Amino acid sequence: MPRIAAALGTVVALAAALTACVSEPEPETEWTEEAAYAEAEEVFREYWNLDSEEQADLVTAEMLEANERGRERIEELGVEARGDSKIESLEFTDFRIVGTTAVVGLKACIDGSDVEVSVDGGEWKPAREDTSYGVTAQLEAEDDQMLVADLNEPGSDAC
Amino acid sequence: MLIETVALFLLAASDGSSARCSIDEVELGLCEAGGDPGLAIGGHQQQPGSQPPAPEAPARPGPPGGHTHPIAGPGPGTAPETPAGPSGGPGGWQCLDPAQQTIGSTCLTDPDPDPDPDPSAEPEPGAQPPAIPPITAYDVEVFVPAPAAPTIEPFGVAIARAPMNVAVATASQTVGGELFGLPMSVTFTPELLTIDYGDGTVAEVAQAAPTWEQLGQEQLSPTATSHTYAERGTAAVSVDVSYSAVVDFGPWGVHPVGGYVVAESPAADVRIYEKQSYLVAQTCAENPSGPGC
Repeated sequence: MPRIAAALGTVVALAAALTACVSEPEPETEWTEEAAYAEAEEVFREYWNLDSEEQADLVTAEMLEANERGRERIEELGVEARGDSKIESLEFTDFRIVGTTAVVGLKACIDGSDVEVSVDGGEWKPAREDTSYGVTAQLEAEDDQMLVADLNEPGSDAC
Repeated sequence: MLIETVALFLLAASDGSSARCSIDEVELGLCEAGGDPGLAIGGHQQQPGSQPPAPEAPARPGPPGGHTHPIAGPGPGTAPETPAGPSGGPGGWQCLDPAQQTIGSTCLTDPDPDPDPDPSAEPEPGAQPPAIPPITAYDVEVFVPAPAAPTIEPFGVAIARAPMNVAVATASQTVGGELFGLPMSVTFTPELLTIDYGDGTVAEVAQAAPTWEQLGQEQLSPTATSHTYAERGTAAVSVDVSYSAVVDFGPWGVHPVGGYVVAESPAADVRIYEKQSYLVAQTCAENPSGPGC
């Protein structure tokens, strides 16, 4: 009996030790919802208004790669664009703490009526049929800064 | 963790790149997850340099089951007058039997083509050259090649707000037969493709509608024959091929055909799916019952 008790005690102690090894400290949330929203809106508006060459400091590495792919794709298509789109409205859809990172989701309505394209040096035409459209974005906190981590056009929500 | 999930899992065969979009792609309607018929894909479009067919001739029942019809167009010939019907009035395509007797407008007989008329056959000495009238598209429409079924990409379906590509294999074809009582061969050359996307959009492109692979482009990228649907649903997609033609009568010469001969393909029903993105905490492997898994 004493041997069994000793063995059980050993198992319990070992399990406790292992649990202690793998458990992570509770994330220290530095971001409040209000602070995350405010920072995310400021970053997203700045990101939208900058030229693609100036956006690197405001995006994650993955988003930077996506921007580069987009630039190459447009070059391959022989498309030249002029004019800028504008954010008509912006609303937040999500705030979460993932691990130690704050994540903000937002939806923005865009006015693209000033954007024109020329394909292979041809006539300038409006870039899109629907010049008012919606985009979604996620921003993630890295250290004390929000970065644009994803941009997409869901299409289902009309602006 | 951001996981791009697609309602249509067939898309897993694509290059697997993320669906993140740059602002420039969004502005041009090229965003993979959305996008609209940007870059003038929507609406009635025409490739530079392509020649639109002339206004269509008055509709009349054509011999091959209504799948082809000639239209007036550029060429030395002129569109024929509408054949007189049994009542003597205009309209009504009339077919002739071997004895040149009128047998009505429903003659779907095999033209019994001879693919190898002997163009080198010399006319008999002293033979008078036959009087060959200007040849019109109506005269050769029974010989037009059967239209090829269009290839819908990706995988026979479409994704709402992403380009769907329509590809059609076309090539010049020569068919033998008899015209005006003379052996001949007629060569059809595709000149114009008219694509009806089934949502009110019709596009015209010159000669070719390649696949993404043939173009060396990525899937879901815009092409001259791609189209972007705004909503989910089903669309009937059809492609008409307009051919120019020349007739080789051998010793009696080669005669161009006036107008285009149009081969109409049957419509293909295309299902339009929708792609959705979810921001989820776990992968589908970790949580198979999660959204989009």
